[in-house]
Amino acid sequence: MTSFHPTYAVRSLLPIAALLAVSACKASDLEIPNPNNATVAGAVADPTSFQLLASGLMLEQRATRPGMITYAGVLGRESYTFQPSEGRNVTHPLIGIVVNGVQKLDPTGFAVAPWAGEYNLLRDIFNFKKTIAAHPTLTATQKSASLGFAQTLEAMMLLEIAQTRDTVGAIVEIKENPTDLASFVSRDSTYKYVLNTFDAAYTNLTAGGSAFPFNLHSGFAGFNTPATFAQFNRAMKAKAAANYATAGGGLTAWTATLSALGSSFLNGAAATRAAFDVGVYDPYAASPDVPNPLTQATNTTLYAHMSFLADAQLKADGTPDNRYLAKIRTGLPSRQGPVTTDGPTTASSTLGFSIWPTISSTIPLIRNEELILLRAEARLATGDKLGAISDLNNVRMNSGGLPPTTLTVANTDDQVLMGILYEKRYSTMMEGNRWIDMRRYGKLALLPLDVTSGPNKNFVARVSPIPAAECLVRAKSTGDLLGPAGQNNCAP
Amino acid sequence: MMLLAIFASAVPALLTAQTREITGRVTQAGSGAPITEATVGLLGAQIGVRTNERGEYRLKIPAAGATVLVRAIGFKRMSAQVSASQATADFALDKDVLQLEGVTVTGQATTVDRRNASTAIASVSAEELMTAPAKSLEGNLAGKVVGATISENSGVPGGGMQIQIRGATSILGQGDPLYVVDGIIVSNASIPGGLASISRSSGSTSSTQDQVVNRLADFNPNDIENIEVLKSAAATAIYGSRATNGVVVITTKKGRAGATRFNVTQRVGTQRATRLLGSRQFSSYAQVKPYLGSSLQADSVAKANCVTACPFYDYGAQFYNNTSPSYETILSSSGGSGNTRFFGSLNDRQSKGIEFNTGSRRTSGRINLDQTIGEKLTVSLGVDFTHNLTADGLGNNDNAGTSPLYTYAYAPAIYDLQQIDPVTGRLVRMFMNGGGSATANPFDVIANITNTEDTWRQSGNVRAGYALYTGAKNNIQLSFIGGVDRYQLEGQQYSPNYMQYEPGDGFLGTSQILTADSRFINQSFNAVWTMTPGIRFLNSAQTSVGGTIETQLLNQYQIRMRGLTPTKVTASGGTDIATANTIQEFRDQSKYVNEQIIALDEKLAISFGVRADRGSANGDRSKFYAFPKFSTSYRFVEPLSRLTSAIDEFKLRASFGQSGNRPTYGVRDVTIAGGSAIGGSGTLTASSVLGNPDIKPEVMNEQEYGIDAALFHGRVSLEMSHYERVIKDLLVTFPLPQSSGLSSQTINGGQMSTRGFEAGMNLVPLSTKNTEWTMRTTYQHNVQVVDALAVPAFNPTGANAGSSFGSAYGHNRIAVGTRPTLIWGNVPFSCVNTTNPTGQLVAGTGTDGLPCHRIYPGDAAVAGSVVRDSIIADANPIGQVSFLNSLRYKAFSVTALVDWRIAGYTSDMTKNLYDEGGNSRDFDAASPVSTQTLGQFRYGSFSAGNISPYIDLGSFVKLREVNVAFQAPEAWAARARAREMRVSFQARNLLMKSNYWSFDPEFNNFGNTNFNRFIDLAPYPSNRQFFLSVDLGY
Repeated sequence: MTSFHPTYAVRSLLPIAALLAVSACKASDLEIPNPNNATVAGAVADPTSFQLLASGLMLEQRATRPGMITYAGVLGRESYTFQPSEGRNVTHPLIGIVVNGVQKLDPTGFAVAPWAGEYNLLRDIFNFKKTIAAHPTLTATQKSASLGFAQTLEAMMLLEIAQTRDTVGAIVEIKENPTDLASFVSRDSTYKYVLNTFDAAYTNLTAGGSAFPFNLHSGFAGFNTPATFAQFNRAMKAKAAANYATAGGGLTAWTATLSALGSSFLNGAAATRAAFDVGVYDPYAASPDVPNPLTQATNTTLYAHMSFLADAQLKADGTPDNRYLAKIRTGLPSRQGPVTTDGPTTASSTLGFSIWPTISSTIPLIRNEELILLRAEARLATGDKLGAISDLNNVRMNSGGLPPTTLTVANTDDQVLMGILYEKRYSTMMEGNRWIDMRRYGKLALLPLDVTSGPNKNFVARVSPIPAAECLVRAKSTGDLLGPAGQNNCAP
Repeated sequence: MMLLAIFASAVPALLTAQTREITGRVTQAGSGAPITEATVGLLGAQIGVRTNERGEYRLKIPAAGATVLVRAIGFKRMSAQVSASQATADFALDKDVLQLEGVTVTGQATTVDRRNASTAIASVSAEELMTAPAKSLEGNLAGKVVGATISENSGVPGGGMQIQIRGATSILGQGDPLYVVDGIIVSNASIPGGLASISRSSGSTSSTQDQVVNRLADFNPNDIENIEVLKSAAATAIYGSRATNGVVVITTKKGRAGATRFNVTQRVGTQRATRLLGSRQFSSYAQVKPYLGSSLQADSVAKANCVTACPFYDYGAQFYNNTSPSYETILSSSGGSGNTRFFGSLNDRQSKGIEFNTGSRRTSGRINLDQTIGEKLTVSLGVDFTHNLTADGLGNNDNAGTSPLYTYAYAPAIYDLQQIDPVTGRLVRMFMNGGGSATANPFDVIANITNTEDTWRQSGNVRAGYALYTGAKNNIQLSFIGGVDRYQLEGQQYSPNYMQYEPGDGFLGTSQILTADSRFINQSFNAVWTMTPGIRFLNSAQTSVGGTIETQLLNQYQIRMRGLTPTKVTASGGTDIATANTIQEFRDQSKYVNEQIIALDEKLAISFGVRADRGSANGDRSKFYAFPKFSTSYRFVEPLSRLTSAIDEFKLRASFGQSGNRPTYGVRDVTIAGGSAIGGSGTLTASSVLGNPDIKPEVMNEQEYGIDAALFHGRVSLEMSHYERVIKDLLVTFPLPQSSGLSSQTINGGQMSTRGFEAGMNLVPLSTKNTEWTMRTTYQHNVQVVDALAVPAFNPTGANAGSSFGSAYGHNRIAVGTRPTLIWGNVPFSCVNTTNPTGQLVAGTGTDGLPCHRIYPGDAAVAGSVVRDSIIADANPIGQVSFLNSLRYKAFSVTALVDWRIAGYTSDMTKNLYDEGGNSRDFDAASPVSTQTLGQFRYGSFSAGNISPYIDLGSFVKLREVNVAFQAPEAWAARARAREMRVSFQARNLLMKSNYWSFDPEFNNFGNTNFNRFIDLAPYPSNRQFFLSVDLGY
């Protein structure tokens, strides 16, 4: 006879309690680090991070560029993206949607223009500036150089936003807390912010000593010290100022363009391909780097607009413009956009690009050739028609191999401008300029439409919408859709 | 802990009585056949002895006499008073046709008699499970678990099915039930095999569109003794923060005492497509011309073939025509002597698919050992080893020209694709698209590509029980359960460089190797104190406490190589390389306490308890989240039987419980992303998804009310349950403005509720010595509503939520006040609603003077009409009904399971493909618009932004299972030197009656998903399987 006694129960509970102690008390077992991604705290504390963060800025800058080029390329009738599985990639930028009888780009659609990528970089620049400020080992000079580098990229991103959104305005501020909404500012304020940021960057670069405290990639060869990077800064500033000049900045901005060009790497006497191609490039390479997404080696959907063939001027020997010959591939399998019950949505094309032959081909950010033509624009706008024609002619003859221009000071400004725009079209083919330039000078109507009537009638969009994704989030707090003039920036 | 201590201290000192031994025999009433493995014990005691193969037992009872209770699976319980003078007691048990007996799981280490269960029970026995073989365990359960929706994702052999219990409980979180095999949590992960590397269905190396096989497919259903599905939160709360989707508790077969018995089953079978889609039969070159595109080659083929009339080749019938035999061999043995019992099984199953070169082979072995060591300690051991190889072929979404149905949808069937090209010596190239690389000849593709998944799986469990104290009125049982479930899955894809579609991505040849390592380890510790005071007022009180430690690790890595040199198969040396590696590890800890009281002559059952969980997926890893439960039931017996003899028993039950669903992996971590390299340097950039250190589990509160009744002297049983669930703190993606530079953050910010009704009725219309007819009918229905969202309405997307192809093709939408199962899509409206300057909606008025309204297909066009993403239909069926009939006459038996889905819509994108290609079988039929054929009308509506013609009703009636069996006379068996022999004919998916256009409304392109589970896009077709089985018992 044994008795069941409370003490027996208590005794029996001891091992149970011990087991439970094992099971329940070691909360530290649950502290497993994330093996897939570095935590912010862990990464910033690492001494190699500063280089990685700087490279991250360059990576994100590079990531925005092909999207901008193909987007502006389609709208500017330079290119098509004939993606067979998703026809809306073709039709949305060219046909858009009809709202109240007006063709517009669909803010939810496939033609919304680069936006998020630019702001991703702006967020990283925001964080990078904080890292610089708090950095324990950088000297004041190094901090200044780093800041100048970051500010230059910041202004470049906002320039892309300003170029695509134009009168819609833009958001220029990154807030610490991502749920705090920054307000829209007008086009004028955006450009002023961009130009000021370029200038602040320039000041910092000038005080930035002899070297950056991080390595720049090979695309910055020749521009990888604070002093030489400053020349790149001036080149981008000149481009921004020229954009502002045609967006209300006027003569002051044109003067600023010329002034910036003066401190840039502009070489007006360039006569060789190598001299024209001096500039800054985004590098590409095979994995683990990123292959060039536009290259003919892998991209089978990127086609050129047939008008490049029709509009190419002829050299003395009767063959087309050298730039056409160098950049355009012919004889591709004929393709066109979707054919709906209302007929074709685009013309067909057999042309492609040979600008980027391999997955390691670079993509330029800005080159001397563009700077010469920018100077031509600025000279023309500031009354130096002769200088403008001279710049135009240099590019025309040495880059295009064409006979000298017939334009003289006797021609109207507009005729000279058209001359410059021809050279710019072929010289900076697929460098993100054509659509922007035609809008800047009010000449969008001159861009060719493949389909001119019926439900598939093509149009040329003047500005890009703010993406619906942005608007939907902002719509939750009333008023934040509005720009300075009270206009709804999400439904321009 | 405290609770147990309090109860313990309240126990009065008890005396153990003198004991003696009685013996006896347990037999079947009527036939007198011995019942082995019957449990014989003292009424109220937890532990008893088991009968041997002759039905004999030997039991210690108090000298003064006692009430002895005998129970056996499949029989009604029986108890008898054994007087002090009695030395033997025999029992004859009645069959339990209505399955009122048995026990149901109430905790990690506790069960309760089914008749005292206070929550709805869904239990499936081995016999019910194995009516007809299925490709995966879910298939064996389909139509047998009331409250569960079990759907096949495609007709792929080897697996790919989903179980959803009482509707979706989460949007972004895990939607799968928790699977527990012999106490061990096992993985049912859906790991994409990597087909996307060839089909380019998504930009990545693998995709949920890969005809994914979820890993439940690795389990051999022949080894299963019983499956219990815990549905309500009160039942699942014992599994804490992983239980909102229900828990499927699987118990495998155990050894039976006595001489070793062997069973051999040999099956041979075949398979045929359930239905094929046919295609349009073109009459002339002129008719086919518009569908040839601009290709000169297609044009010349058409001209050459359609000289007078076009020939017709039924590509689908030719292609899905593999009737090669499937085989299955099952060997099992069971036995035991003394303190040791064992069960062992070997299984080899070779299934073939209707697509050539597809099939699966599962080879598995299991050993279960039960060992009693001394009087107090029992140790059980289970080991399972499985090799599962599937070759899934091709199907589903495709952007490369590889998916056969894509090709058949677009290519007019006017050309013999099975002819050999005299120049190349291979099958002819696909002639459409100029014979270019956007397409391919499927006969050539399926013959030359590799797409396999090879899984090696090992699971093992150890269960130790220690009877710490055994007395007449008190028992304390300690137990430990520990186990490991691990597997390695290898996906392999190889597409040779000469395939027609290969130049399409700019690289010739694709080779990919994908590996997933999964390791689940879990342990639980339990102490159960059972008190049986032996008074009518309190029959028993059972207190259990314990805890669990769980780890789940999944490591996936893959290499894809494109641009291969000829004949090279390994994933190395290509010109384009993609690699990926991700690790997910979850760790969880829990502790629980449960109390279970049976009182008032076993009429009242009360159960309550709480489990507290913490885990590595939560923002606060050290915080315990508590999940309480309470349930009760009361059985009305005598008062009713005095009133009417029609009612045997009537039970009311009610429960409330809370269960959780932990956050998805990594949501809590604030990370910085390591981007790709640039110019040789690595990079760090802000992760676009912001981590949320405050994330916590989703919580479901559920109330369930039900009635269980037994009527007409055991001829009828009824069960009905109504449930209401509210799921709070749903994980949702909070979108950050893009201009912040970040994209989103996952937050707890939603609430969804579900109401549902389930009913089941068992009937025994006939029961005589020779004949027995049982019928089971079940009905289920539920409606879900989104109650609140802290984010704008959104389209669910994600690994668990599922994906869609957007508003042009139909999708679910999570919007407050609407049912999340509704299908939204583009439909035309008579005018535009606009927004005012602050973004609020302003209703418009159309040119017809009416507020903006939907224009139905065939309606006259309204000027100024616009296409809107709007509600079209509900994907959730109105109800689901299943009928299970089983008739036995002497040695013959017939069982049939019919499954009826009432309504529920599907996005039939397969039909859309055929219409786009001008190739649907009914393309030339009459349409609502006189100027258009049906195909033109449907596709024309779609092109004009109206998806309605492709949102189709998915009602069906399926004859899911048929089993015709013959128990051969002993003389026949003797010829095979066997003890018994059974011959059966089995069939699965034998018939489907449905007006649905494509293969099967159950299918889903994206596999197992919480939402968007209705997208039919060029799947591997549904098929029916037939088997002839011979079972021999030795």
